[in-house]
Amino acid sequence: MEGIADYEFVRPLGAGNHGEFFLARKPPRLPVETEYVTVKVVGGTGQDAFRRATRELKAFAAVRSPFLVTLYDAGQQGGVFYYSMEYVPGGSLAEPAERPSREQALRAVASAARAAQALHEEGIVHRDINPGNVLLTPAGGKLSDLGLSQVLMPGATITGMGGLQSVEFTDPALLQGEKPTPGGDVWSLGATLHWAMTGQGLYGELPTHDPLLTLRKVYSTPPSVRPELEPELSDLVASCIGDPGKRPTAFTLADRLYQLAS
Amino acid sequence: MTELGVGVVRPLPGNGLIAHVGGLLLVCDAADAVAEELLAAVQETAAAGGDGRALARRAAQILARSMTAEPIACALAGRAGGGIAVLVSGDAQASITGPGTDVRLDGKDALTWTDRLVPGPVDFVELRLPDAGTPIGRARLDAGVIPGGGVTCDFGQGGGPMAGMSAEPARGPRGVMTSEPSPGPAMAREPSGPPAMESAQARSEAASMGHAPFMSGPPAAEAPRHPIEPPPLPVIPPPPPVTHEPPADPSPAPMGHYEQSPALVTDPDMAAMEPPGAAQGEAPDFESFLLIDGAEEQPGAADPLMEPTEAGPAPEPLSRPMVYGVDCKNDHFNDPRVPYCAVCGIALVQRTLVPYKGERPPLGVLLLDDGLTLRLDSDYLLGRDPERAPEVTSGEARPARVTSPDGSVSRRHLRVRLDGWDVNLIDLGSVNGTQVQPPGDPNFYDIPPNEPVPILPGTTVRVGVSRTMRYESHRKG
Repeated sequence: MEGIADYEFVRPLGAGNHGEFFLARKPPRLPVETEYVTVKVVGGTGQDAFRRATRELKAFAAVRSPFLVTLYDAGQQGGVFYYSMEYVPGGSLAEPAERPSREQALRAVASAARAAQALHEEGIVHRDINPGNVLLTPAGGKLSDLGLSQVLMPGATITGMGGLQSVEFTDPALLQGEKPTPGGDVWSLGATLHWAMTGQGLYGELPTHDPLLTLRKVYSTPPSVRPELEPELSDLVASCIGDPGKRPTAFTLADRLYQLAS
Repeated sequence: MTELGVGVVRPLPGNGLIAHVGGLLLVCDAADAVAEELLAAVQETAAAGGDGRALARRAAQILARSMTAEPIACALAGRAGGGIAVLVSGDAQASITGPGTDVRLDGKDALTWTDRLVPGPVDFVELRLPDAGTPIGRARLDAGVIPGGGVTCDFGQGGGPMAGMSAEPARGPRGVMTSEPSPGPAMAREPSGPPAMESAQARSEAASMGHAPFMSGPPAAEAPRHPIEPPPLPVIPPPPPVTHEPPADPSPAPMGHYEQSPALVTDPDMAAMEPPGAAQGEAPDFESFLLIDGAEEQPGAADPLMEPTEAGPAPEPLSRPMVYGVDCKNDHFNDPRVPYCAVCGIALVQRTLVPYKGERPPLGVLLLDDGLTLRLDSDYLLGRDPERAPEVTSGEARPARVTSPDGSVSRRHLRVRLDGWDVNLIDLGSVNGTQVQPPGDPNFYDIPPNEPVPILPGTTVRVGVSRTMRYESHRKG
């Protein structure tokens, strides 16, 4: 793929839930001072899905937080939906440009928690927090993207339109059919923290070549925290993925992470 | 340069399907489920005047709707003014040649499909699938749909005996920007670019084409066999700079209209969303909504985005139906027939429970083999083309598009219906049927058409020949 709309792609940046990311040159029409932007290309969508998704992104873009990636525009060409956002050269926790230190990783997850808190205060649930969406910046991190499965295909928690990378970072209640909640985002932050610190998911190795098997395993295995995780972090992760009534808020989680990082 | 005639169309042998209708050309994989849709698009576009851009637009919609894993192999071409509109997808190629023009497109180069508006003059068009052979002698395809692997069209040979195709004057709304025919050729022609037109140049070329009167020449049948000496080209203003509202400007809706090439693929619905004054027939190539500062809600500004969509303002707030159930000790609402709480597993039998009516919780999920996960808090209609099904348009069921490379999923294939605490499947008389494998049973069983069949959690369902899904629930039956 060479580009979409008036974006000229430089190189692919990898797949995300229900779409693919590309590094692109900023077209002159965008009133921002930057040379490069990130463009996410989502598969073919209907007109209604396009409108719903754009509305969601607009609500996301209206939330002010230094820890949220800035969105630039959303559009479609020939039925293919895309949206563009700030390019963060540091990469993500999943694919960092440079391997982050323990402190950097903790600060990145803390920043993502701050971003989630800002979204939650506006009544928005992110729904797709995972290491690929926690971007690394010199100041800590930024939370990127937004889970759009629900709006792209009503009723779907996973659209099958992209990889399944985020399944192991999704609150099982959501996979079981419950509605997205802020507590679900906290679950995802906990799983992301666990992955950033141990390099492991909460379900162990997943047969990622087969979506059905992956989902079966996620359904049948209770999530568990790796024993090698340091005790304070282990407790923190356990509380994030525990009883929804007792989970910390994103705000509390961020505070705790900043403490542990310093 | 005049409008292209029909030219001589020759079939190339092969295992696909080729079509030539009214100067429109199609090559596609006959086994693909969308072959019939593409064919219908060719026929209907030909009946409506045979504009190549209209064909490419329709084909793009068909391809966009089809969400098969493998891109669909097809190539289409048709006249667009003095040039050729062409679209290729998947494992198919197109080449368009003429004096100073040599455009070669390979569908495999793009994630979705590739389309171009190739300005004339064009002498020769070839569309082919990988297995296409060489032309057989004097075989030609003046009109029709036959098996084959490719098709060529030689405009240099003129359209004499092909009059059947081209005798009728061009009909329909084909004048794009002019209201009266101009007397001569009026193709905007910039020096042709390098073989594979790169985006910027292609854009500027087609942008200027977009402002030229496209179809203003005499009807095809009257077109002389050899190009007449063109009068001086009209002075075409350079393509307008990409115009957009600076974000500080509060008045216009934050929607950009662009006229960049390939000006082919645009959902017709988008045209309907254009503000009045946009040139008719010049639908924007893409649309964009700014999400940055200054592009936010402007009171009073018409923002089509904020209007309710057909599916309602949001997909979520479907009210949950009321069902009879019982509470466990921890107040989890349950199916009155089950012995244990579906949420916490506590025994229900020891309690004396009086069922009451409450909101039904989600009954679990349907997991499809590509990872699509559908929450069972609503009915679904599964199929290749579910959006237009009456169950969906009436709001009874959500659409879930399921396609398969072998085309074995019908347009309306299967309804998933929630009745009380039960999940039922109703095969809607699909061609290849629906089979279920109950939990713990190694065999698949056909379900009868048009009859609800309840399934238990853990059931695997085969939709058509090659797609499967599973009903998962923590609520064990």
